[in-house]
Formats: sequence, C-alpha cells, structure tokens
Amino acid sequence: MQKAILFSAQDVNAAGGAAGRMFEVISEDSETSPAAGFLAAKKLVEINEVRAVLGTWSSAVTLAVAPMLDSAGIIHMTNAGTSALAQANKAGLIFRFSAPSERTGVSLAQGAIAQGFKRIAIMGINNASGREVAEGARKALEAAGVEVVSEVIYQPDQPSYRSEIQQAVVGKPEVLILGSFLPDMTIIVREAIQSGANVKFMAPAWAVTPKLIEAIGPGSEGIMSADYVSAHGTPAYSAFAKRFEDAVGSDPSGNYYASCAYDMVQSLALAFEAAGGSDDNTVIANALREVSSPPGQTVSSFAEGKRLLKEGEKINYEGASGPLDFDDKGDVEALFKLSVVSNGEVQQVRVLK
Amino acid sequence: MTYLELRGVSAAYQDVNIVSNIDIDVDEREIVAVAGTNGAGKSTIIKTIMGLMPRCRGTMTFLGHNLFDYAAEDRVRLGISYVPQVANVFSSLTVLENLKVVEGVRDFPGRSTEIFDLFPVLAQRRRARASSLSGGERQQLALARALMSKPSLIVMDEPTAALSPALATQVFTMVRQLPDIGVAVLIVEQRARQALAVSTRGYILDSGNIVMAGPAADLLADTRMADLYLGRE
Amino acid sequence: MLTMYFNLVVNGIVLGLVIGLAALALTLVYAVARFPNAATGDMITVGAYAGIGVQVLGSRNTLLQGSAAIAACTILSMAYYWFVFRYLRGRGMVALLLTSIGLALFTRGILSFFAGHEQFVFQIPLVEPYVIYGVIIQASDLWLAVVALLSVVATFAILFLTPIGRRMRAVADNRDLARASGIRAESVMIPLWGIVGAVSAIAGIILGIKTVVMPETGWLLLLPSFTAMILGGLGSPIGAVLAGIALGVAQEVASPFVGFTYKIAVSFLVLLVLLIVRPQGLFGSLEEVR
Repeated sequence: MQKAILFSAQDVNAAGGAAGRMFEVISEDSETSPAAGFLAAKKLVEINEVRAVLGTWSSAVTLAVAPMLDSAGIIHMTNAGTSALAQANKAGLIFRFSAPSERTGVSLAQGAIAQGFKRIAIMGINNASGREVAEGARKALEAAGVEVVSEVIYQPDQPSYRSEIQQAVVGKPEVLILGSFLPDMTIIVREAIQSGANVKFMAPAWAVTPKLIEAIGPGSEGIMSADYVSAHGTPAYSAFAKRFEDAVGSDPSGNYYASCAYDMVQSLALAFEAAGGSDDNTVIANALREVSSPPGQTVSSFAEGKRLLKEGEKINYEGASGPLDFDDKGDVEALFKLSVVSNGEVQQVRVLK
Repeated sequence: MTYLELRGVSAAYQDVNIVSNIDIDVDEREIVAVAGTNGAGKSTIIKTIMGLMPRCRGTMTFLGHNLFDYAAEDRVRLGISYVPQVANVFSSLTVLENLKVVEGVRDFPGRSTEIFDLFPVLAQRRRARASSLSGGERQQLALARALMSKPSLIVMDEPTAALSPALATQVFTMVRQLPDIGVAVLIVEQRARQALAVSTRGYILDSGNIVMAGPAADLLADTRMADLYLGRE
Repeated sequence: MLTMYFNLVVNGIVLGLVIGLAALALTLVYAVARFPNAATGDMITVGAYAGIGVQVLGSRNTLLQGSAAIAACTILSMAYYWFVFRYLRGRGMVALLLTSIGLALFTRGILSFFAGHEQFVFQIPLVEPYVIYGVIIQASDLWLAVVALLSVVATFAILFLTPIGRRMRAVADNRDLARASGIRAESVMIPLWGIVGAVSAIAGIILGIKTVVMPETGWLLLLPSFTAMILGGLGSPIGAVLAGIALGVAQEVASPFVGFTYKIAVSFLVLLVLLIVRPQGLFGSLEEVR
C-alpha cells in the first residue's frame, strides 16, 4: 500500500502537481495497534502538519484515529471494514475506498445465489464484524427470496463448535455462509467435516487464507470466498498495474488494497486541483465527491483529469479499485469477486455484480 | 532424666509476643500439664515446640539436642510426636493411611500390628476414612498415629476440646497410661482440674506468662489458684 | 429430536473432559499449595506448542508430540515451583495468585515472541464419523476421550495408590500435622508440580488437536476450569473432573434453549446457584479442605 501511495504521488508531481503544489508523502507505521496508530497520526498532524491521512486499514486503528483527525479537520482515506466508522464521520472528511463488513455479507449471499444454491445457512461470530457479515448475508438472501434455513451466532474462543454446527446444518443446507475469522473458521470446518456434515462453506477472504487450506488439507477443496476485486480491464487499473510491477516487481492482481492506495492519491490530487488549491479541507472533500462521481467526463488518471479541469470540463474519476462514487457516508460501492479453493489455492471464479 | 527443657522461650506473631519468657521441663515418663484459659497462649507453646511458629527466641532442648537446629519435619525423628487440637487426624485418609503417613517408621507391618493391638477398635476400621470415625475412635486414631514413630514425648494440644465430658474422661484415661509404655506427655488443657489430676507436675499460664508452677497435687490443693484459674468444680 | 440431545451430550462430554483435565491441574495445586494457579492455562498452551514444535521438526506422530509436551511441561512446572513459588510459601494466597498471573503473562509473552500470533494446527487426517442410531461419534474424539480418561486414572492411581500420593493428600488435608509427621515440603511439592505439568500438557495436546494453537489457547480455558474446580468442591480432584464434564454437558444441552451466545452464561449461572445452595461444592466438604 505504502509503495502504491508513493508512486501515485510521483505521478501527480510528474504531471506538474495539483493546483501548482507538489505532494509530499510522510510515512508512519501504525503497527496495527490503536495506541501506536494514534500516536503516529497525532505526530503527522501536529509535527508534520499534513492535510490528509491515507491508508488506515485495521478497524481498531481507524476508529482510534478517526475522531482526532475529524476534529482537526484532516481528510482521512481508509480501508477499514467497521460500520461504526459512519458515526465518526461527522465533518464528512472520511472516505472509505472499500465497503463495510455488511457489504461482504451481501456479496457472499450474491455469490451463493450465483452458484445456484437454494438452501443456505448462516453462521457468524459474535463480534461486530461477524454479526455484520451474517446480517448482510441474511438481508440479501431474503431480498432475493432465497430461504435461510438457519442462522447461528456463536461465541468467540470456544474449544468446540459442534453443537453450533449441528444447529446450523439441522435443516440440511447446501452451503454454510460463515461470518468468521481464521481460528474459529478452522475449527468449524474441521468439526463439520468430522461430524459428517455434507455442506459447502463460504466465508470472507480474510478467513479463507493459505493457513486455512494448510490446516484443513484436502477437505478445503471447494471452500468459497468473497473478496474485493480491483477494476480489472479499466484504463486506471492498467496504468496502476504497470506502475506496481515496475515498483514492486510482481503482479498486483491479488493486492486490492494497493489499487485503493493508488486511487486515494489520484482522487485527492484531482479534488485539490478542482478546488483550486483551497486551504479549506471541507472544500477539498466536496470537490472530491464531484470529481469522482457522475456527471462528468470519465477520466482514469490525475494527468488526464487535470487537463480536462483546466478546460473547464466536469470529470468523473473511475479508479483502479473501482468506480469510486462516494455516498453521504463516504462509502463506495466496492467490487467483489467470488473465489474457490482449488488444488490448494484460492482461485477467482467470477466478479460479482 | 530431663527430656524437654524450655528456658526463656518467647514466641510472636508479627511483632506481638504471644508467650514470653517461658520455662518448662518435662522429665522421663512424666505427664506435665500446662493449664490456662482461652487465649493464654497454650497452643502457641505447643507449636513452638513442634517448630510451627515462625518467630521464637530462647533455648529449647530435647534429650540434649538444640531443637532450633531441627526443622519441624525433623523433630519427629528426635522422638517428639504431636497431637494437634481438633484437626488431629488426616480426615480424608483412611485409618491405615493415617498410620502410614508417619515418616521414618522402619518396620511398618510390625509397628502397625502393635498399635492395632493397643487400639483394637481401629483394627476393625482400618479401611474406613477417618472422617467417618466416631469422636472416641478419632481420638484413639490421633494418639495411635502419634505413637507410630515410637516417640519418647508426645505433646498434646487440648485433646479434649470440643469433646463431651464422657469422651474427655476417656481421653485422660488413655493419657494416664502413656508413661507405662515409656512415653512422656506434655499436655495443654483448659480442663485444668482433670488435666492436673493425671499429671505429675503442672504450670499455670496467664496472658502468655507462667504464673505458677509445681507438683500437680500442690497446684490442685492451692485454694488461691483454684479460685483464679481452675474454676469451680 | 432425542438424537439431537444425545449428540449434544456427546459434544458436552468431550468438551467437559478437556475442562476437567485443566480443573484437575488447578485443583491439585489448590489442594496442596493453597492457591488458584492462574499460570495453569498458559502451561496448557506450552503443552500444545511443544507438540506443534515436534510437528514443525517433521514428525506427525501424536505419541511423540504428546511425550514432548509432557516432558516440556513437567520440567517447566517443576521449575516454576523451584525458582518462584517455593520462595512465596506462607506469604498468603493473594501473593501467590498475583505471582501466578505474572508467570502466566510471562509465559504467553515468551510463546508469542517465538511462535508469533498466527495460528498453528495439528495436521491430523479428517475422517468421517461413526453414526450410531443418529448419534454422531468422531473417531478422534473417542481417542481423545480415552487419553483424557487414562490420564485422569493415572493421576488418581498416583494419588491414591503410591506413598508419594499419600503424602500429597496428607499435606493437602492437614499441613501442620503432615510436617509434624516428618513429611518434607519439597518431597511432595516437586512431584506434585511435575504431575500438574504432565496433566496440563495432555490437556494442551487434546485442546490443540481439537482446535487451533494460538498464544491464548490455554488462557481461555482458565475460566471454565476455575468454575469446575469450585463446582467440584475446591480441592477435590475427583470433584473437579466430574464437575468439568457436568459443566460441558450442561452448557451444550442448555444451548438450544438459551442460544449459543449465552451458553457460557449457563455455566456461571450453575456456579452461582450452587455457591448459594451448596457452598462446599458438589463433591467436597469444607472440613476436608481445611
């Protein structure tokens, strides 16, 4: 993510900067710890006097720094999944380049429907994320008229989930949607297989990792996951992918968050340009909504957008991570893909609409 | 011959002396009683002798050995046995296990046979848990356990506390027989008259100090003492 | 419907055996050394990681993993006694409890420093269960239950059939009288802590095989184990094991009525009611604890 921010900023500066000013990037490590993240963000604001903080990712860190950034009037661009972020977004300066956890649940439901499943059960861990995923999935299934045969919310950190599994599969579902994390998902899938439950599994990509496949072995074949996906095939993505390969030396197709980071800088620069280099961050934030949403001519990079803005055109930035049309809460309609574990690897099956 | 000799012994909890400057002698085959009211410091004297009090001073010898050189666990090997107050047996262990617990018994089968001969009631209940014994059987087990190591001295902490008068009399009868098998006894008691009646000598303890000492018969005959410490008959 | 309850009971028994083993380790220390040893949970974690260590070195032999766990925990447990708890004798329960919490955090810190926070898993083949009249029995659970029962039996054999066990029970029953009977603290404490380590190791291996191994694995088991220890009558080893099983079963069977989110609350409700109605626990009597 950090490298993507850096080369994205280089691109902006190479195009002459935004409203005549150059971007300077200062990096701090949150160590995914709320305390460390808060201190780092405070240093950025008070010592470095930054205008925007980009790339927070952990929900705990993001919630810890959001009120401070909000009251200091700093633009905050994040990938956190927590829905509680909406409450922290008082001044309208927070922009989320991915979706809240509930949206992951919705995409799991869409994936299940797309794969043709008719009988679906839901299990979710009893914390904010797990409940949101389960709720999102249930609402989406109900809206589509698909039967949810059972829904079980379970406690974290239990040595066994056999009774919970038993309850979930009692209605003989074809697939079990899991709002889980890696440790509990590992236990649940193992116990489900060991108790002879004839059911398939779907879960957010954060739980369906190589660690899970290693832990479950051959039984992991066919586990499905929903994950964000970058806007493959768009001009912005191609530009980003080329820059990423030059900078990192690998293909960015598995690195959604890097494409978000790239877009954060590009869209921020466009907003800055459109606002004429205003010193007021509220003006910048409003400009950000305008340059990234319709109406306007579609653009895929800062350089392209800057030229059109100079000509007095309205623009709509379509990024490498997605179309980036921010709603009132600062959220976007993120793109999702469905993947399946095949030959011990997570492989993409389709992009979900 | 002097078995146990205490000279100027004091013992304290934290920094408060419970007993001060105590002199006590127990001779061969002698029964010595220390009488006193509740809180006079009787149990403290016993625990000091057994090495169970953390802070004590003075000199304390047993058969010429300086007792302070020996940890509580080693004093049984010198020949001192202990019968504590109330919790005087291992109640979750069986009768037999209570006897086996005593360390340093060379010939267990032989010694336990001798003990069961002395206490035939216990022989019948050797597999029973001590908690299931009657009050009288329990007192017998306490004494039997103390005798396992062939001690030369048994120190008893109020063996009749919480017992009915009938059972108390039974206990004193057992104690009176101990010198006949070569065991000296130091007994602290609230039932002063009964204790002195079976004893050769006695000490009267008040607020941690020895206020009177002498032959048991003299103490019993002293009307002044009787009024102060022994209670009405 | 009935088979569902049977299945819940089976689940509860397996879960309860793990709790029971942990409660046994807690109870042994409580009965003899007189303090709730909060480091028990992390000792269990050490056992699980020792088994994982063997797996990382290349052996998937559960017996070998178990032996390594027992060796590691036995030594560590005795070391904790020899270098720490020995010096705190007579300082009171609070000092010992706080020290054990400190040791627990220390152990977990060391573990996560070297092994990280990522989960580890025992690589055992996943097999389909036996289904007998609708009751689902997993072969691995059967094995784990047998191992758990065997270790309980072995522990009781030591406690009730050997001189060392008799000494332990004597110290637990009446410490002063035990000393006056010539029993040395070290002669009881070192084997006791060794046994506690071994029992924790087995609990750790079973828990590790059933779940995933993370630095918090054993710590999370501590609360239900404390409950089982109290339920079993503070200081009664048999009580602790039976209470662990009872707790596991009660928790599972109650969950269809109260929901899975509240099933943990059930065990504490049981504890609360019991403490009011029968403060000495199910199997203990207060007199024997003193």
